Amino acid sequence: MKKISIVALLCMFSTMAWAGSDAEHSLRGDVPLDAPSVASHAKEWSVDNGKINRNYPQQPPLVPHDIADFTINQDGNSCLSCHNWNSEMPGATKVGISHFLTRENQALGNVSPRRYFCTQCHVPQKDAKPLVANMFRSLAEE
Amino acid sequence: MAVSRRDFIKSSAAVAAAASIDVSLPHVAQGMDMFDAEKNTIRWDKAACRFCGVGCGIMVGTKEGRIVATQGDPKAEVNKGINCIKGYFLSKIMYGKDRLTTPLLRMKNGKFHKEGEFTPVSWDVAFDIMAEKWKKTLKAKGPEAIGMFGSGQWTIPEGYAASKLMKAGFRSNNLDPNARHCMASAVGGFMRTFGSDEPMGCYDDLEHADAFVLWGSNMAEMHPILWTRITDTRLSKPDSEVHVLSTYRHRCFDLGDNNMVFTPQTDMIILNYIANYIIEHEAYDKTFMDKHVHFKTTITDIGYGLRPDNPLELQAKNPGKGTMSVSSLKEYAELVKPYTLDYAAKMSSVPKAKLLRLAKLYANPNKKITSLWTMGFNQHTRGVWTNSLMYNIHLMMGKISEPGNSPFSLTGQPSACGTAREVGTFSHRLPADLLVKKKEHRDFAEKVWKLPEGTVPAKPGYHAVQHNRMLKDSVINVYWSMCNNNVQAAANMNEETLPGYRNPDNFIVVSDPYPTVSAMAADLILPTAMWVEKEGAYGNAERRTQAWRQQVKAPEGAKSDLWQLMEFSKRFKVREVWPKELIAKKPEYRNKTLYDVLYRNGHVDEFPAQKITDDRGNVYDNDEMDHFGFYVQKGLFEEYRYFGTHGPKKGHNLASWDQLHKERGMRWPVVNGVETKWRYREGSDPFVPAGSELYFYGHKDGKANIIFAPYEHPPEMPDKDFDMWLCTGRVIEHWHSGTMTQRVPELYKAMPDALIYMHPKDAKKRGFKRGEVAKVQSRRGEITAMIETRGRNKPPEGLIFVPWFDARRLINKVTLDATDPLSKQTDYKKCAVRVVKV
Repeated sequence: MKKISIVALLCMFSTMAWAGSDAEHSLRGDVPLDAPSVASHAKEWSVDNGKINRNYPQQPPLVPHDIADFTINQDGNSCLSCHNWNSEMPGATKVGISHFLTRENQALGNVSPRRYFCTQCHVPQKDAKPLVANMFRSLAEE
Repeated sequence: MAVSRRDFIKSSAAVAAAASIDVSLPHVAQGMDMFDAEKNTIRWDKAACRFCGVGCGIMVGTKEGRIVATQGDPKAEVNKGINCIKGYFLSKIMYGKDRLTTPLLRMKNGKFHKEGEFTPVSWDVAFDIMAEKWKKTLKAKGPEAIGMFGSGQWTIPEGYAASKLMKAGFRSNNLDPNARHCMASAVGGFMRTFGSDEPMGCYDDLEHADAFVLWGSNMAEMHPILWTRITDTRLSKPDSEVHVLSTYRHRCFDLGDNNMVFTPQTDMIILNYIANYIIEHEAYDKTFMDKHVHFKTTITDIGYGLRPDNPLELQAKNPGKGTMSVSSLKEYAELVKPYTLDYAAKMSSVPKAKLLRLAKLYANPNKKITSLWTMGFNQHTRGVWTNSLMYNIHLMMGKISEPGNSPFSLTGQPSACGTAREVGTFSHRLPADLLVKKKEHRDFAEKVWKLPEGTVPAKPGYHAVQHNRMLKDSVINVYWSMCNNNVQAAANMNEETLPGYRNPDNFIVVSDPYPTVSAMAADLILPTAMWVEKEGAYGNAERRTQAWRQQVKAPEGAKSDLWQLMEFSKRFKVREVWPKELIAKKPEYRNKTLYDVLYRNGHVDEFPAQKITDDRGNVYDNDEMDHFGFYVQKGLFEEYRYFGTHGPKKGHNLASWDQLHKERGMRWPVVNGVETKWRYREGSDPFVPAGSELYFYGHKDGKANIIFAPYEHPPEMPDKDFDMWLCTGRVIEHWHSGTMTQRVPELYKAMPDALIYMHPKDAKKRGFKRGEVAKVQSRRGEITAMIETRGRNKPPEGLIFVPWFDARRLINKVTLDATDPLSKQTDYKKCAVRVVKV
């Protein structure tokens, strides 16, 4: 086994903090680039009683609950137990009609296999405060 | 489907919740004003997704000058109406509150100062100081002290304009894109095996194949829409199968029929084992090989692309060499013979039965196989070799260039193919596969560009990794980085990148829409327009070029990369930049500006300003056209297109700018308005001579190379001090360094922090609980992050995975800047670390 031995030289040309002025920060906030990582803390999955509002009708609904124990694999899809069109789970958002179409727009009797992995489009939310505000204006606000 | 007790408890809670909603929510009738045409009308127009190399078609919904919605384009063949979670939130990427709207210069006492505070200045002041620094550097040291770092996320016209400015204007080949970090080894593999870059197949293969083999590609997260197509085939086509190889378990394993976790770097051994199996069982297609293939053997012990004084480079016998010797099937058979099933299983830790199943699949002449790979092969210190090892297998079996039989190198970035590779914004390249070192190719470029012979320098420039080393060593002194975030991307940030950017000898400019980590390390930040705030085009992984119109205006003060490049070129007179001998060949250029000679050359400014409309009568802005007074994007694209239609390398024909605006993208070569699905195949590719069936015309005799390469160790492996492998990569929710996606609240909340994905036993051994903050250390640096033992990625014991999107914990402080010595692409997938208590 070859081994390399690089001496970890911290050859900095300056000791100044490269965080920029007060006005300009990267997503690191005021933590300089050469400083240790920004502190992190565990965040919980948000559990909402209702649904999370969409920004526009074409947006896939977000998941208002924890999905850590759900599985989607060759044996089955636990999301569909509640969300499929024929599930009797009240309150669970049913999969949209678009999900029954093939690539060629043929309607199927059940969910199209191309829509099988729900988490490609639908994600739950952690209880985290956004790093930066977003000024997008939703149609729902108008 | 099974519903567990736990699910049942959860659903009972949901019932209760729903019931309470029903009683508490009054039914509010919606008035008929919801059908008011003015309120209800959104202008929809097509664009290509801003994120990955899949190149999904997007419909952009605009109202009153703002984007109000985005959705998958139902007419786009790539995605047929679906997007991934990132794509569905494209509508929000431009609206982060901290968009930059004014140039910011580090100043002290009213003047530029390397250690000063970022201070708003005008564009004039910004270009004044830039031009001053560029001219001073040119005078003192010449064009080799100028550098530019570009992007596989530049639009095609932007990349082309930059290439002209650097290679022909400033006469420096020190232009390299971030695509060096993602696709250089793929290019190297294509050039060595086929003599022509980019895949022969296309996404249609995903519906035609019987089996898919993933080699170092987590498509479920990184190419999600292609994964929907594979899932579609796998779940609806009887007897189809999916094989997944990776150094850790990830989401693709959920669809896998044959899942294999292998020891890092031993993919090379598995590939050679399959070749050996095919030969030993005489399963190969002899007729195909006789007709279409040469055998070659590559020179070995080639080092690791580290600095020349690194002990590993000093030990290597042939550092950086790529020489190939002529070989034969007989010799090749001998060379792969040691790669037995026993050896492969022992080295890779993959059970024999699984390896055998994989080998049998490839050796089965009746199975159509699409092999897919991305960064697992490319970010690999033997990436070029490994790409070719994959082609070897497909070539032996003749499983290539036909529907479903496809060795498919997937691309990372939205225009790594379209801009970086096809335009040739690499330090050694020119458009359409041409090379700066070839006189014939330079001559052609100079002729198209109406520039004197000898304008383009023959010597390849510094590549991406070398840029940072040369900045640190004060060899490059002025540097412009556009459309990427290399301080967060480039490996070994502490020892190379940051010292280079903050070196007092250097002046660093970063153009970006947002204050990135790179921007914070710069001396001057230029506020930049993004995505559909400008007209543009991208080229995706299946050779599809896709154009879009400008949909909205950039925030006041922000300008596109194209505007910045062209405006900056006005600051230079030819006589200030070129040597006397060169000017003597075109004395009329002496007092012209670089803008005049590069962009007002009769080609680029050929198309006058016009009204941009679609077929429904909507009118669109084109801010660059308004500013420069001609149709800039079209002029640049049409001049560039000439390289493909008339250049020395055939088969690079692109559709016209006007046609691209009408189509949902077209796959090159496009001849007489018709695209090509399978290159090199008669009947599909118009460049294949009649009667030849298949012709690899990238090489003069139409043959591809089967290239033997042996397994060689990676440069750094776990040892007693640093006892674990570190693999880095992406997650589905975030694009690259998170500049855009971390500013979309829904995406941020879905994946707020980069985590340390670790095997539970490794965590236990070190005394870590899930969620505890730990320190990841290498010989170069460290970060802290939380431990995740139950996440979507499940590494084997001895390996951790940490994604790189999170600016707050820069994993590139830890990664090793070793590269493939041929492609110069960094291996971000392997280095040695230890995980310790904070």
